[in-house]
Order: sequence, then structure tokens, then C-alpha cells
Amino acid sequence: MSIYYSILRKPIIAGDKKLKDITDDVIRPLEQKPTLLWWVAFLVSLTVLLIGVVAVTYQIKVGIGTWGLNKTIGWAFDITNFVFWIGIGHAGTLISAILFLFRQRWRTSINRSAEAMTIIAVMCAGIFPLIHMGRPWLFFWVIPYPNLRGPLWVNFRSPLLWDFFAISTYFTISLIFWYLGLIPDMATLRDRAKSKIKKFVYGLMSFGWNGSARIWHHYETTYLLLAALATPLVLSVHSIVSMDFATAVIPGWHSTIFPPYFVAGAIFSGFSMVLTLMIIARKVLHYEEYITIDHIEKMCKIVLVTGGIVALSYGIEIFMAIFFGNQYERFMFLNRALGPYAWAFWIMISCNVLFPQFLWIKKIRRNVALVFILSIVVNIGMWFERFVIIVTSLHRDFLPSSWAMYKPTIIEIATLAGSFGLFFTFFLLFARFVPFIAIGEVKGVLKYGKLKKNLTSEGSVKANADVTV
Amino acid sequence: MNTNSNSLAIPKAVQKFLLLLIVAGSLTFIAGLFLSPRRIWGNFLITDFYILSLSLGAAFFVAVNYASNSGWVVAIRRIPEAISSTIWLSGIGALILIFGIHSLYEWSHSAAIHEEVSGYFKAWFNESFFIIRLVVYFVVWIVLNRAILANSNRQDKHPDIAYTRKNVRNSALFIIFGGIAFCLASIDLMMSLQARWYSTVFPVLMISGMFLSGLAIIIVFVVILRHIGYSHIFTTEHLHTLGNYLLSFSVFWVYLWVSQHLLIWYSNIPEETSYYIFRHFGGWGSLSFLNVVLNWLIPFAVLLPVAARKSDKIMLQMAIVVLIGHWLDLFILVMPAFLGPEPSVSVWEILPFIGFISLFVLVVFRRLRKSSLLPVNDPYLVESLPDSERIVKSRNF
Repeated sequence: MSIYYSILRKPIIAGDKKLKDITDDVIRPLEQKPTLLWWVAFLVSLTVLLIGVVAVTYQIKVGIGTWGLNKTIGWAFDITNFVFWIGIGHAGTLISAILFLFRQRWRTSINRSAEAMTIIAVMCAGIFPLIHMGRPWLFFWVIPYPNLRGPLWVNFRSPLLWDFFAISTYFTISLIFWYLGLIPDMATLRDRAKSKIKKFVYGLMSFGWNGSARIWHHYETTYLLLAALATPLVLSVHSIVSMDFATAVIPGWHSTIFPPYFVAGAIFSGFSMVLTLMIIARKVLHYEEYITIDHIEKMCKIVLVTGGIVALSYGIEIFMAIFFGNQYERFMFLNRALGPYAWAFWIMISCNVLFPQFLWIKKIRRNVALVFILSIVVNIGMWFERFVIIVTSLHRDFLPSSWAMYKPTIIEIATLAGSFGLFFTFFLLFARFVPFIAIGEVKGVLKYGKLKKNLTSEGSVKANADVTV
Repeated sequence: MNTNSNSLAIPKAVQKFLLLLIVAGSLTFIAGLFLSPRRIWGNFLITDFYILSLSLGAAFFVAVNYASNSGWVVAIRRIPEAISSTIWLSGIGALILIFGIHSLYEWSHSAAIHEEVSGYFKAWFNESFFIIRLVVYFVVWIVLNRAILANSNRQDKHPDIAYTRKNVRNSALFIIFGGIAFCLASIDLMMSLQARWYSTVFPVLMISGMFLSGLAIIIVFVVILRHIGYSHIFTTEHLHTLGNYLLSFSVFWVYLWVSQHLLIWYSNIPEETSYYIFRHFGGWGSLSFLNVVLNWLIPFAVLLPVAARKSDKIMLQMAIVVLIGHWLDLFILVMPAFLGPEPSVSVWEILPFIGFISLFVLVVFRRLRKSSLLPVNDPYLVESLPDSERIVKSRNF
């Protein structure tokens, strides 16, 4: 690879940072006492989490009759929330694996926190299938294991079982990937620690890292291999989640485009959540020079592209329902747009298709406040997308006498709130105890875009000499 | 300094041979129109869509790389540019195809199908609207692609970054409108052959096949040009990256193939399985299996080691495997309707196809000669070719 960069490239890290500045800047929030703002945020999140815990305890004790489900709509809020959180959990591994393989070096500023977000989001997602079983203490029945209770063996043809395998694999690999990236930074924390306990704990967590060339070599090889292994997982998890619906014969659920469409939607919503979190974090933790406006703009572009794929999928589905589909399929789509849940459908369309189009404008992509609002809009839209797919496909049964409506109960809403509480509690803890930015990786991109060169047709060279490293 | 042409030339003998194949292909096609019209139209549809896939695949490759500001690709970009400039070839093919609409598409002459499928079906699938749409698709592709190629070539004469910026915008437009056009074109040309059957992932599957075969033909040309003395511009690193692309899009193709296949198999709805039942028994079954082997299993297994993606020989072989695989993919898609339960390959399949491919190769080489092989003033060139300074000075390209 050339040591020179095109004149169009900009450095990834703003400010004239030295290597030591990076370590200092990233670790500073960890070495100070938590701020008042952190405590307020943490206590609020914890309270919301506790509300969720109460709600979950109550519904486990009483049973899922406490939900608004009925004979026609047997899946609603629970699975909506599950798919929503799993979707959020897609951005982290995309950034760490796929963008790594695509040599997108700006990923280094956001990969650590996005991966942490992924892991926490998958944990939030995991709650819902667990409690929707009704008897969560028997959850291990989804694991194939030799047992003495007769022919109790899971159905390997069930997508719900594939889900179990796909998500647990994804969670494991994401966790390992995230932790692997953490090891050199843990060693940095260890070396800077003043108290003995801290030194011991961080020493344990850094596995005796000594920073030798050989160790770095092993580390980078492992990182590359894990990136390659994690890449198919980014696609597989949401593909299989989509099959929970698409293998059925219900109009509105059975659609062969579901796997790629769900994956694009997941990345769409995941990146929006990353944007939401990064925009807050860069302000509060003073990381503006690491997570720059350029980073935000690039993430906006990914949101725009994946949002475009989602819009195209909506288009293809509606097109085929009108011109090819059978009458049930056509009724389904008309009913979505004009029926009793039309409000949810139009929230989905406006949040996922219309509003993101503003991101075509460069000025808006670089306007932090507007991007923040749009990122939340997209997240709302993607939640409603799952709600629309799940509830509206069910509420009009083949048998008109079974037609029904669904309304979430207060318990279900409290559970959803609790999952947000869990998410933010863990994320705030992460920001307190773990370096928010991958120090080692950011150091590696410090020289990016500094030494530039341009050729002209006569072959003379205009090197840009004022910025050298 | 003249940067508008180069000394690239194909040997006279090869040129004559290709011309011979073109003549033979055309004559076979004309003979087929009288002797076996349905079969020849089916094959012509395959051939035309195949050439369209190659040129559009390259066009999307150029556009995606412009839109993502990628640096590595610049030194080899003239090759996909030249390939993409051939969209008009399949455009002419599509005009010829209009005469075959009645032989190809049941919806063009059967009233029963309109009542069976959907009340709105006729609004979309009627002859005049079909022809108008075909024209619109090609206009969209050719106009936007020409705009990109023109800016790229102008930059050779005027070293101005503005051309790059313009092309980023044109490329975004090409990806959006060209992409939508290809989705609709694959529904129109391919899916409507079996109008009672539909699959929402079908257009996406066709996009992946198009891009995969586009990558393969780019690799073929890169390897050929490396072989005839341009390996200092088209380096092993470029080959390696193209190999990464081929590997990952081969996996992407099979991912979509499985999405469609698995979901239809699982749900087992008669309207949908009708498509696969025909293609899963007897000779068609073996071919369907071979399709996955060629488009995914072989490239995937062979290209996994890095060394393979840096080897000219292996990369050429894999590109050819994928190119054969793409033909087979289209063959399985189109021909069951015309050949019945047992597949067979005859002169009607082979000669017109080879003839059209020869024409395509000639046109690509002609285009390659017309412009400089290296986009000398592209601001990203320095990232694509570490040695670019010396090469540009020595004018050895």
C-alpha cells in the first residue's frame, strides 16, 4: 500500500494529537470521579430498569395472560421488542467486522462503543423470547440435550430453534471480539493504575499483555480471523430472525425477500442507535476530536444506503402484492395502508422512508442536532416496522369471525421501558469502567490522510509538504 | 502528450476468429427463427440478459467505487469502464427481443392468465407498456453510465477534481435509478416468464448474479491485460482485492439463493413450489445442483486461501467458472418453459451465445484502445498505484 494519501483524504482524528494525548484523552473520564450528570443518568436508568424487573416478575408469577394478546394475535409486543433490540445489535459487529474488512479506518473511533452497544442490545433482546415462553424456568427445553423424560427433543426444523443457535453464536462471537479488542487497552489501564486493587484487576483482565511485537502480531492475526468469522454472523442472525415469520404461510409474513430486507433494516436501525449514542457521548465525554463531524457524516451515509435498501424492499413487496400476488396478499397490504392499523403503517413509512431522505443534503448530515433527531426518528420507525409486520399480518384472520385488535397492557409497556433501562444502565457502566474508544486502534490511524500527494498529467508531483508526520 | 489512446491491440488472427464466430452466431440465430423459433427466442433472451449482466455489473462496480470514494480501484478502473460502455449492445438485443415477445411471454397472448393472476396484472403486463419500459430502462442506464465515463475521460485532459465530485453524484444517481430499473427489468424479462409464480427476493437475487458475473468479466480482462504486458499497472494487489470481491459476492449470491429456495421449500405453498418442482427432478435437478456448485462452492472453496486470490491462473479459472455458472443460472431460469422436463444443449444454445460474446469482447477491446489505460489525473490514483509517479513520467501505459 502506498504511504501517500490522496489530496481528498482528511485525517481521521482532528487536532494535532500525539500518541500520549490519545491515551490521556480517552482514559481521563475513567480516572476522574463520575460527574453529577452521570449519576443522574445512571439513577434514572436504574429506576426504569427496576420498573421493568417488577413488571417481569409480576408477569412470570401471574402468567402472560397479563399481556394484551388474544387468540388471533398470539405474538405482538414481545416479539416486536425482541426484533427491535436484535436489530440494534447489528451495528457493532458490522463496524468491527465488515467495515474492518472494507478497510474503513474511521471505524476505529466508534467500534469499541458500538460493539458494547451490540452486546447490551442482544442481552435486552434475549429477555423477550425468554419471558414469552410463559414458563421461562424451562427455557433449557430449547437446547437439545440428552434427557430422561422421554422423547423430549427439540424440533430442528423450527426457525425458533435456529434463532436460539444463531443468537447465542452471535452473542458469543461479539463478546469475544469486543474483549479481544479490549486487551491492549486493559494493559494500558493496568500500567496507569495507582491503586493495587485496580492494578490487579486490570492486570488479570489484560492477560499479561506486554506489548511485544510477537504479541501484537498474534493479536492482529486473531482480530482478522475473528472479523472474517463474524462477517457471516452479521447476516445470519437477522436472516434467521426474519425466518421466524417468513417460513409461515401468513400473508404479510411469508415473503422471500425477508432475510436480506431484515438485515438491511437491522443495520439501518443499529446505525441510527450508534448515532444517537455517539452524538451524546462525544459531547459529554469531550471526544469531539475523535468522533468528528466526518464520522457522523459517514454514519449518516450508511443510514442512507441501508434505509434505501429498506425502502426498495417495501417497494418490491407492495409491487408484487399488487401485480402478482394472490388476493390474500393484496388484501393484506391494502389493509396495512388503509385498515385500522394504518396509523402505524404511515408512521413506519414516514420515519423509515421519507424523513431519512433529508440525509441526502450534506448540510444536514453535518448538522449534529438534526442528525440526532433523525436518528431517533429512524429508531421509532424501525420499531413500528416490526409492529406493523407482526400485528397487522395477524389481526385479520382468514376467518372474519376471528378478526381482532391488539392493545398493549401497562405490563408490556413497563417491560419495554425496563429493557431500555437495562440498555442504558449497562451502557453507562461501560462508559465508566472501560475505555470508550479503542486507544490502540486509534493510534494506528493517527497518520491517516496526513502525507498527501497529487499527480498531474505531466507527471509532475505536487506533494503536500505542510502536513508531515 | 497524447493520453487518449494506447497501443493495445488484439492480434489480427484472433480478431478474424472472433468475426467468424459473430457471423456463425448470427446465421444460426436467423436459421433458428425458422427451424426452432421458441427455443431460439429463449436462448436469445438468455444471451441478451447475460451480456446485460456483464456490462451492468461493471457499470455498478464503477459507480459503487466512485460513490464510496474508494482509492484502490483507480488504476484498474478503465477496464470496468470499457466493459460498462457496452450496455447499448444488449439494448439493441432488447429491441430485437421485442419481436419475440409472443414466443416468450404467455401473458402477451393468453387471456386466461390475466384472469388467473390478478386484476391489476394486465395494467403492468401489456405489450406496449412493456416495450416503453424496456426503452426507459436502457435510456436510464446508458445516459447515466455515459455521463460517468465522459467525466472520467475528460479528467485525463484537464486535471480537475471537479470531475471526480461530479462522478460521485452521477454514480449515486446511477445506483438508485439504475438499480430500480434493473429490479423491474428482471421482473419484466425473467420473472414474468412464469407469470403465475412470484418471489419477492427474485430481483435482488438477479442483482447479485449480475454483479457477480460483472466482477468475473472484469477479472478476466485484468488477467488478460496483465498477461500481455500491463502488470505494472494492474498489480497483484488489485487482483487480490478483486478476488476478495469475487469470493464475497459468490457467498452473497448463494445467501440469496438459499433465502428464496429455503423459504419456498419450507412454506410449501403450491403456487410457489411449482417453480422449483420443475427444476428439482431429472436433468434439471442435476443442473440446479451444478448451478450452486459453479456459482458458489467452487469459487468459495478455491478462493479461501489468500495465495489463490493473488494467482493469475487460479483467478482466471474461477472467473470462468463463475461466468459459466451465470449462464447456467439463466438457462435454468428460462429454458424449462421451452424445453420441457428434460434439458438438452444444442447448437441453438451455443452458437448464438458465443457469437454475441465475441461481439462483446471486440467492442470492449475497441473501447479500451480509445482512452488511456490509466486515469492519470484521478486524485485517488496515488493510493491505487504506489509507483504511479514513475509510471506516469515514463508514460509506460
